[in-house]
Amino acid sequence: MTLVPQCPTLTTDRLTLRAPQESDIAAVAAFFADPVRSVGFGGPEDEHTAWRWFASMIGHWHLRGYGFWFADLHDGTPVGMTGLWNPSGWPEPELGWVLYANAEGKGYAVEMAKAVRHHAYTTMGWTTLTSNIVPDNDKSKAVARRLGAKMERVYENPAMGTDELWRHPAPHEVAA
Amino acid sequence: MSDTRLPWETLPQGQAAVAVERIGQALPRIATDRTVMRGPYMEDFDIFADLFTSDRGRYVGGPLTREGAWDDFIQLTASWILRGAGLWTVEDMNDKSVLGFVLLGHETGDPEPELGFLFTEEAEGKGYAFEAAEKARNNAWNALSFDTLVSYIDPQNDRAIALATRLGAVRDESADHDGTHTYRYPRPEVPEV
Repeated sequence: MTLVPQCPTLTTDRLTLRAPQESDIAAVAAFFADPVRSVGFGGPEDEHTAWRWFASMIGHWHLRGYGFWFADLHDGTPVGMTGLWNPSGWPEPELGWVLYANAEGKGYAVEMAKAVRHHAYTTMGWTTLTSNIVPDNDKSKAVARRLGAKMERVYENPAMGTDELWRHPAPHEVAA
Repeated sequence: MSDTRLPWETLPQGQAAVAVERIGQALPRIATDRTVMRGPYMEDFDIFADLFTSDRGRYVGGPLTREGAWDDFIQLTASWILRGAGLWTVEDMNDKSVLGFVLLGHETGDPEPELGFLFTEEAEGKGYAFEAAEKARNNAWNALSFDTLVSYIDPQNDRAIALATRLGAVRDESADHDGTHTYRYPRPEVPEV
């Protein structure tokens, strides 16, 4: 079943970013159950809460017109998700990313986030993007730096508490 | 150009337009530094037809009639559903104008799948074709696991020969086909990124 027919398929050299499918819930739940790696994403959470997050993410696509893409290697192996996220209470739309266990260290996060940022800046016509990162999420900050983003300010996020807002380079700064 | 639209070129309306959007969104978009490669839409046909019915089409089986260009356009578009690869429209990432077309296809009678490209006169000489064709070549190896990839090029088409060569293709005389020269892209041992 097509949950998000308006989600375009974005392709990079190594990854396909595609619309969410119900079969992704297991991987999302496994990620949320990870006590270490899910902290920067509001976890850890149980399977029920992971399901609710997934359902809200589908709803976010329909309410906002954008949400999370699911990233697979071209052979179909899931590696994570990346997307544009702006639920109630967020300071402004953000670019987020999650790598599943075993997918780290290969540059996938940068590759998939760049593809979504390019899509936001070109096809969607956005002029700026932020990423919200909890202060001790060093791995995510390393990805943000590689994307050219810079820490702008600390703010209070309704879900995450004290949070850092990182600002991405503007469209003309990332164009060749 | 809409006054030149033939009956079968009619733009889909209403629920058909919704269906087009749903299906079109499933086709892979590829970002390059300055362009977006996306699946073709009916609206792209005017530019496709202009290219293939003009002198610019002389090295790629043309110039064709508008009807002949339509037959090519719809075949290359159908290739997405049958093969998972086909014709990309290449647009400028900023103003969305159509710069040209890149193709991973397999035309009737050809022994092997090909990488094809044709750009407008305005887009020529700016590196757009290289940028997009490089991504298409990588897609053939990385996303589609092609075993081989060639470009069939008219011996007089110096620009296409230069582009294929820049993309790493080497003339394979043993595979020359149907009056064209075959330029073969070597399959990389490790994925090109």
